[in-house]
This record gives sequence, C-alpha cells and structure tokens, in this order.
Amino acid sequence: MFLFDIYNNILYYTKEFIVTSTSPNLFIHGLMAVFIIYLLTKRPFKPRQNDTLTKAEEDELIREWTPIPLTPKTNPLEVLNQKELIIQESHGTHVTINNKKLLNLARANYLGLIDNQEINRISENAIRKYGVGSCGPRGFYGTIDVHLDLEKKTASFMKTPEAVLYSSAYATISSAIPSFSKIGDIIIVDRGVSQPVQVGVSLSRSRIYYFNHNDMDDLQRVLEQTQFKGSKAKIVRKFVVIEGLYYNSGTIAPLPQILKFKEQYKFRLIMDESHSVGVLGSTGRGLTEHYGIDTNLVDILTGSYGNAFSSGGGFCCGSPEVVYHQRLNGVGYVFSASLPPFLACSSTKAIEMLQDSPKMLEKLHSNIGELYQGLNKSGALNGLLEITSLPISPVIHLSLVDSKSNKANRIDDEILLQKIVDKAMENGLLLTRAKYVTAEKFIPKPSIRISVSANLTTDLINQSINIIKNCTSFVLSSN
Amino acid sequence: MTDEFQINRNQSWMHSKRFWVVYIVALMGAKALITVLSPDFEYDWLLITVFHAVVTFFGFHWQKGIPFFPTNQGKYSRLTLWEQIDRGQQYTPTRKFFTIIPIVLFMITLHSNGYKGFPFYINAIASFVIVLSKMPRMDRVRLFGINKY
Repeated sequence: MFLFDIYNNILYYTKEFIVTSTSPNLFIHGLMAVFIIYLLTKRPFKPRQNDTLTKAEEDELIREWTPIPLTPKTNPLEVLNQKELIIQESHGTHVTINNKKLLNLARANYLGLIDNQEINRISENAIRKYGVGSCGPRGFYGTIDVHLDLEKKTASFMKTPEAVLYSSAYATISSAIPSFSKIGDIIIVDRGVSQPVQVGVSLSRSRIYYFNHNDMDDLQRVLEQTQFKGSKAKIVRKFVVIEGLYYNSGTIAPLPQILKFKEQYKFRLIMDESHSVGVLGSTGRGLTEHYGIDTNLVDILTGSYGNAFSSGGGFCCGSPEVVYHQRLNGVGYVFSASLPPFLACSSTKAIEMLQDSPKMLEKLHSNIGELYQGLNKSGALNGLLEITSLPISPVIHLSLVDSKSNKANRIDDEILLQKIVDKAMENGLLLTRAKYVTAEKFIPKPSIRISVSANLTTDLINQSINIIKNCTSFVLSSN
Repeated sequence: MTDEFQINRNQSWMHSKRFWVVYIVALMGAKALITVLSPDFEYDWLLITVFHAVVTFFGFHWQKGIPFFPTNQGKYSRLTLWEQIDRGQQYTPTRKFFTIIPIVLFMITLHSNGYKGFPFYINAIASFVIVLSKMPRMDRVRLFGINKY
C-alpha cells in the first residue's frame, strides 16, 4: 500500500509537470531565460562608431597622404605682416622710430590721454603704492579697492546697475559670449565683427548663423529661420552679437532697428563697444547715447579701456544678474590675474576727466570731422583711395578704388598699400595697414587704418592729409 | 584614461557592485515590507514591478541632462541618464545588470500572478516598455518626437 501511494504521488507530480511544462507560463519563463542568456553573451560596443575602413579605402587614404612640412609655409601676406617697427620713444602724438620723430596715426588713442601729465602722475603713485601687478585673479587675493572703484565708476558712467572688470580688452568679449551661450544655443553674428568677437563666438560652441554686415533684411531672414515653436523654443537661448562701432569697417550698427527685432523675435543682444565707448554720443557713452537709447535695453554690453581711455582692460556692464553670472563663469575674469592697479587708477581718472571736461570729446569729434572732410574733399586722394568708414568714426579706413582683390588674392593690394605706408613713414607720418589673422572667416577689403586722436591740432591734421595725398599719388602714379 | 574632471557624476555611482547588491536587497526589502503590512495581498510582486518600472522609466529614460551637478557645460543636456551610462557604450556590465533586473521582476510576477487576466497585461506592458527602452537600438531615439527637447 505504501509503495502504491508513492507510485501515485510520482504519477501525480509527473502529470502536473507535463501539464505545466506545456503551459504558456513556463514557456514565457523559458523565453525570458533565453533572453537573459542572450544579453549576458553580448560584447560591449559603442554605437555609431563602427565605420571601419575597408582595405581599399585604407590604401586610398595612404596613397593620398602627403606629409606636411615641419615648419608651416608662410604666404607672402604673412611675410609682409611680419615686418616689425621698434618704437624708441613715445609721446602723446609722436613716436620715435629709427631716431626719427613720426606723427602717429596708427594707434587707438581717441581721447588723446596717452602722455597726459595728470594720468601719468596718478599711475606713478599707484605703482609706488600697489606695485606693478595685482598678483592674483579677482577671486584669489587679486581684488584691490581700485578695481571696485573702477567697477562702480564704470557702472555709473554707463548708467547701468553693475559692471564687471576684465584684465584684458581682448578677453572681455571673448569670455563674455561663451559664459552665456553654450552648446545647443544659437548665436547670430554680423559678418563684419572684429577678431575678439569671432573668437568669443567660436569658443562658445553654439550654433552660429551669420548675417550680412548691417543688413537688417538679412538679419530678419536669419531670425525667421531660427524661430522655433513649442518646447524647443523654451530651451534654446538665442543671442545676436553686434559691435557698436565696427573696428574692421568704421561703421555703426543700426541699433534701433535691432532693438525692434528684439521685441519681435525675443533674443538677447550682446554688443561690443570697444571702439565706441568714450567716442560716440554727446558725453561719450557710446552707441546707445548716439541713438538716444537707454543703455539697459542692451542685455550684455562690453567695452574696452584700451582705446578711448588709453589704459588697459575691459568691462562688461548690464543687469546685476548678467554681472554676477560672469564673476563665476567669465573665463577671462575667473582664471586671469586681475587688472594691474595702476591701469585701473588711470582708467578711473580718464573716465573722470571725460565727465569733467566734455571739451576733450568735442575736440575729438571736430578732429574726426576735419580729417574726414580733408580726405573726402574732391582731389584730396586723387580718386585713388576711398574712405569706407562713416564720418563719425574715429577709425578711418582708406581702401583702393580700383581694387581687383578677392579673398584668395589680396596680396597685390596689400603690397601697394604697404608702399604708401612706407612712403608716408619717410615723410614723417606713421600709418598702418589694417592687418588681419589669416584664419579669420570674413576678411574685409585691404585698407589703411587711421586712428584719430583728440590731441591732434589743425596743423597736424592738415599736414597728415597732405602727406597721405602726396604719398598716394606718388606711389600709385609710379605703379 | 579618464581624468577626474571628466567623470560624469550623474552616472559614475551606478557601476559599483556594492550598489547592485543594495539594489537587489532593497527590492526584496520592499517585498518583505508589503508582506508584513498586508499578508493577504496577492499582487505584491506586481506592485513592485510596476512601481520599479515607473520610477526607473522616469529616472533613466525621461529626465535629461545632469540635474544635481550643473557642470559639463551642457554636454549631456540632451541625453537621458541611460544614454549617459558608460558614455553611450552598449551591453556593458552596468547596462546588463539594469536590463536583467526588470526581466527577473517580470518573471517573478508572472510566477506569482499567472499569465491570465488584467494583472498579467499590466506586468507585461510595464516590463516591455522598460526593457525596450534599454535596447541599443533605442539609443538617442525619441519615438514620435516625444520628450525631444
């Protein structure tokens, strides 16, 4: 009986096993087990990287490969640009090169504050008090009272809530742009921006769109093109980058129209005023004052102390959020030693002087006018050179009228202009060609770049107009 | 060669074996807790499977970027946590572990609740979605543009 029970039990369990093993339940379990084993046997791989080359493609690549020279080849333009001048002595308007005193129209000294006695005295005092450097970034023992003074002074001068100080004018715009615009954001840039702005734009790793220089229809086209609907519009930040006064062309941006677009298309405006602050407007507050617009409508405004104020460093002003963000995210602010205290002192003094004596600015405006009118008079340049900049621009660009150059071949024009520059140097006038980095994306026409200063007298202006005129006709007629 | 600053702290903790043990213990602890609280509840494993599926779906496949460490300059801001694991490398041990967990949970639930009726469908759908999302084919795929930006 006992054996029979065991037999019955075995039979029962066997029966049940057969029933359950054919049931879907066990079947699914089996599938899952197979799937797990399948997963465990797979080898790791990286997707989208398995484009290995075939033997034929490999051979093709090896055949096409030519070794690059150990030293890079210099093109004739680079050789031309390598020419160096050694300045032995420098004063307000004149420099000494090769023991010869030359009138200097090649450097940005718009308000004529270089060699100003008052500023020299203050700088000397600052050096005696603080030393020549500040020995640290702003966050690490590099902040000195004069930096805070200058930030306050700049903010009140620009009529913005806050300002942040950078130790280099070049680093100002090239770290202000990447601190706000990141991967996945959109930057819309004017084609005519100068090199620091181009560097900033490319450092941001954002998607970059270009519009034709000062072409508002083209800007509108790009804005329409980058208009996103729905959830994408919420996460993509959009910036338009312009320069107040374009250093490469001497033109100004049509700010009222851009601000109208800003309301319509919702973007943030970044404006570099390196060459317009201290120059444009009735009290030198830059392009916004020139148009009579509130500065705070421009979200991020950068400027330089190096051009009009004849000192060093740069600033970015805007709302407190804009400024505080840069104190932690502006690469040039965080990782660079702060502005030497004597430069900060001289900048503060320069802004004070500009505020106290508007005569300086009037003189600059009248000088720009005189030089522009003098060069623009019929026959002044014998129809050989033309002025491509605006009458209010302190940067005057003279380019060849019958220029045959294109992007690939500009060396002939550059050599011709260099001849004019060399000839002018023989006659006591220091000029310069506008030189560009070869890797720049949009290089403007070859030109001679003249920077006007406030401390030029009428005699000096007339003298320089005559020299430019004579040298141009001498070089171009002998050519 | 991984430098310290290149480590993505959003996903670096997931590779430790100790964490895997803790994960399994936590799942078993959840089961024990439900059993203690209500001994007669027969859908305890189903509850755990579905809860696990929902939580990991939003954690792994919905939330993008690095929520707690605002670094890396937006490099990962378009990627879900699952796509950040091992820098997008597929079938790594970590990925296998986190894929096998829902499969095993599915099997346990199947065992305890059977293959018929409403509970099975919930179990199957939740597990299917969560496992399908982890397949290499679905890497950086946004079906129908859902959750694209």
